[in-house]
Amino acid sequence: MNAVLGLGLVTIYKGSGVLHFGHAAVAMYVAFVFRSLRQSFDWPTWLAFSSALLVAALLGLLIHLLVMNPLRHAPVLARVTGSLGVLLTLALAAYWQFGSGTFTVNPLTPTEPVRIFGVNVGWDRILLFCVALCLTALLSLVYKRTLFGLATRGAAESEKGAAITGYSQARLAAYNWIIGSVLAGIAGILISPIARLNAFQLSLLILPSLAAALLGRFENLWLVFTGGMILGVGESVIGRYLNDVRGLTATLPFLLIVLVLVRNGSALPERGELVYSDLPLAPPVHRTGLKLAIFGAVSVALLVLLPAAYAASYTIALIGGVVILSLVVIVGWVGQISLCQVAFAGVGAYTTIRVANHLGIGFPFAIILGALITVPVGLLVGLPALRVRGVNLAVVTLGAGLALERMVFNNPSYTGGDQGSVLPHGAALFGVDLDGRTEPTRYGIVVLVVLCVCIAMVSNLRSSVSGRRMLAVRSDETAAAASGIDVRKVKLQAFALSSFIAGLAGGLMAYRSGRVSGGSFVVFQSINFFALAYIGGIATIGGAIAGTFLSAGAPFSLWLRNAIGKDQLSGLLSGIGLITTVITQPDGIANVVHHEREKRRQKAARVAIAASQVDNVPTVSRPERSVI
Amino acid sequence: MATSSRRRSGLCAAVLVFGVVAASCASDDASPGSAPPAATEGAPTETTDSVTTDATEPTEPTDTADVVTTDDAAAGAGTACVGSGDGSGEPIVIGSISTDESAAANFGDITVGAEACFNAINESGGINGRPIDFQSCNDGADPVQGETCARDLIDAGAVAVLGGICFSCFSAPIVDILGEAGIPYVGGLPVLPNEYTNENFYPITNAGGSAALFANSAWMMLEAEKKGVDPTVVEIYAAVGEADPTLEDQITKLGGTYLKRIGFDPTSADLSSIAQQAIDENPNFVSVQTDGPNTVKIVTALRTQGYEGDITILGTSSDPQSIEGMGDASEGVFVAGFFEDLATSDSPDALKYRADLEASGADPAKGLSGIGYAGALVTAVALANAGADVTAESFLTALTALEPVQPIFNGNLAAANAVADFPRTYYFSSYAQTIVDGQIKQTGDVFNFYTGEPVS
Repeated sequence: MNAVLGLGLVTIYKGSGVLHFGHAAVAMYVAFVFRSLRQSFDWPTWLAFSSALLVAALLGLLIHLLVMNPLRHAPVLARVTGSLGVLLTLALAAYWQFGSGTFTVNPLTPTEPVRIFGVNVGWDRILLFCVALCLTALLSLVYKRTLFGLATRGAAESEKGAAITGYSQARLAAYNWIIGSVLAGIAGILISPIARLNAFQLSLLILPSLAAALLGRFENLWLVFTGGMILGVGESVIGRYLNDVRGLTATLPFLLIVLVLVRNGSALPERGELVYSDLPLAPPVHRTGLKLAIFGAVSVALLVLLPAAYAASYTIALIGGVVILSLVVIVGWVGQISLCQVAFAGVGAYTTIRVANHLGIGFPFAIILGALITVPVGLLVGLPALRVRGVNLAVVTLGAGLALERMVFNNPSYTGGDQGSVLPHGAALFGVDLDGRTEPTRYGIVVLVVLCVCIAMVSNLRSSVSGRRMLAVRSDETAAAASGIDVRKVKLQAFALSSFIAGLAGGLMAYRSGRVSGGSFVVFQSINFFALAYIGGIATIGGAIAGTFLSAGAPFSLWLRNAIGKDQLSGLLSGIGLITTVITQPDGIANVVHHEREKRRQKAARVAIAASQVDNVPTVSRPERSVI
Repeated sequence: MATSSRRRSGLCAAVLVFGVVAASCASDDASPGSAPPAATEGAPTETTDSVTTDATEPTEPTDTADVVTTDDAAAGAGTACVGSGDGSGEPIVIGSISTDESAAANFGDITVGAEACFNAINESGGINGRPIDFQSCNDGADPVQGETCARDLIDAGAVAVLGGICFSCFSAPIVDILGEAGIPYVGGLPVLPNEYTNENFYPITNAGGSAALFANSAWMMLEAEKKGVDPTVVEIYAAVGEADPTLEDQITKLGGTYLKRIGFDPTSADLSSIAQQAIDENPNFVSVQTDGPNTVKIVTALRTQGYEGDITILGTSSDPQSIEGMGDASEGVFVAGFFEDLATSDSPDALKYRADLEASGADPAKGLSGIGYAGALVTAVALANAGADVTAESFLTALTALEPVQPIFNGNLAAANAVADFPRTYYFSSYAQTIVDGQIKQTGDVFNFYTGEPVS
């Protein structure tokens, strides 16, 4: 199954230059459609299969036309964000449409074993193997022997060259998106009787399929097939002989990815792409004190005036704000795409509890120590960033988040499993009870104070020399290095600071409920927070505040949930919101005000010029922006 | 321009076709993941006689199933889901926190069953003239959501909170939060033994958890004796927490050979290597302890890899979707059963159950609704005993004083004796039932789930 999914990934990458994080989500969605048609509507299997593949083809076309084509000249960050938006949208659409549960798909093949060389093998595995083999052979022929294949490969070498020779890159990309999505659909349908059909779990199969594609260097389809088979065999061997090492099967793809990426530096072949648009705007920070005062006043009012249950929910949103702030530092200012911030928060939460339990350190020092212990973990995850960047780093951090989730957070030996880890005492300071369970309003104010301190700290950083160095690295690493900036040091500093802030969020989470469990730190939460940060404005402090108000638990989210009446639908809106934002307002909501102010200033300048009839009045330019 | 127009038309057509196909695929089956219907609203007006039952001292554990038959119970306590009064009083709020839908598991059917019972009660006048306002909350296996559920239900004035299977209850202090507010957590299906240590936990029904492990152990011993084979057992379980030694202890105690315990990551895509590990041990019995979808994967993998011995699964994994998903591999699988065959039995209780489910718009042939239905029914009896001015405190008094109630399931008010000194432990009898032609059939005697002794 890794091979079939990997083939689709490579097809899409060859055709459009997009590393599609939502590829397994397409497989998942098509599998749901197939199951629904076959088991709920009692369609014959062949009809359900062909109809589901038609849906897959349409999905591929729609993703290309509505999301990826508008972003074809956008920076890598925007395209990664777009594909993450597709992932979120499809997962949440399936969640809303088919249910969040885990479903069973009736077998497609007989359940009797077949004896091959003395080993029992299931018909379902034989079918998957044959399909993967045939598809690999077919696609290899198409891409080597047909004009379409040659044009696709040519466009992958140079979009400009393909355009000059009369091939429409957009059309080639559309065809490849359709082929890739149909491949995903086939994989999803064949996998679903074997794997659990769940909107989120199946979407995360993107990681092993990425590993298979990387082993094939995103070029050679036979190597992708071989990579998929090696990975499958490896997972089976681990499952059989090293099953006691928790989460190792799920971690194997991550280890392979890191190995390949770090060894090669960049595993994705370079494309001759044309990039016209900018990275998200990172304006200088002004009047932080005033903004914090307004934000603090509004938040205190909400915490005090809202009923206790809502105050407790808003506290969760404020903790979410801390996580989003950590993304502003690492993604917004340094351009390092991190999809494991919630995993850092998880490390912070568990270490906070361990510190409190084993060292007897109480609130708030346990949280601070927990966050400090998170920093080495952040640095470890950040090490590959010294060798890889952009979309490759997104893959690494996604894998790291999943590995931490499966190996550490789901391991009862470390974290107490379902029972969770429990704090010995609730929060208290100078004799004042601040326990998040019994005093949600007071604890909410504590979290608010921490968030405001972090915002002030990060604002100062933005204005400092270090902040400007970070922006320089984001803009162009080569140019930054040429101007004397130690790019490696800047990246590691950013990972350290970002993981510290996320670790603080984890500690706050632990003291909010007195215990934590692995279920709170799943990798999908990282993607959710990334979406909220991007919608708010990932390179601005205002974006973090806007993201806070959009987070689950904030009054807006609660109002939306109550208004719509379905959690799933309000979640779906965040996926659609992310796609819309990345296409129409890539600077985020927070910068809308900034843009309006800029327009007014420019208009005022023009009026002044006209009034004074002076020719040499300087025009107002936008703050620094960067193009990669 | 023409090309552009054609492109736009093509795009519109694609969007339209996709929308139609995708929308038509919206889940409309009563699958385990289907969302339960909305909470009951409005008060019925039909008047019937009030329900009364004499309260007695708390029931102590007994060695055998000490049950009141349906007729006896109905005469004394009205133990069907039937109301009394005119339903014009102030609604009694009964909450529910359970994992109806989540990535970890989905047990929405249990909530659907509870709702069907309360709907039937409301249709016939409520309890002591007061309708039940049943407010269910899906924790999504998310501790944060579970806590929010608990606080919302406290704010709503719930007298009691029912649980189906509440995954977040393991990691969030939900039962404690309810306990601090004086609200009992009732009917939660015990999954882990330490649930029995919580003073605010009041188990009512049990088709999974430790009771099922006891029943599985007893059945394997009986079956081994019948077939003349060694009772050698491998256990496969979803390793989401510390390993539960119940099955090993029980197998050993009953004279069997416990070969190996194999834990697996429930989020793994492929479990064939886990099945192969079990086969390597060459057991005569494999006991599978996990939810429906993973049970399907393991049972199918065991059969496709040539395992020909016996397999036992949990009652909570035996919903029709899972049985269908196993295909031919389900044939002969043992299911620990504490209920009569609610889907096909012609007993008055089973007929009433099916009628109530259908009246609520649910399919009685699917899912695990019987568990929720039974839990709601017992709760209703305690509510009736608590009087018209029922509070959480008086409900609790009535609940702990309740006599054995045996309306539709072959067991008593409660759960297993996983913790010897837990004050609310009771004993069940179990039906020996296996899957035959895709249906659960009683294929053996009723036996004491703990000792394996036959029960007449």
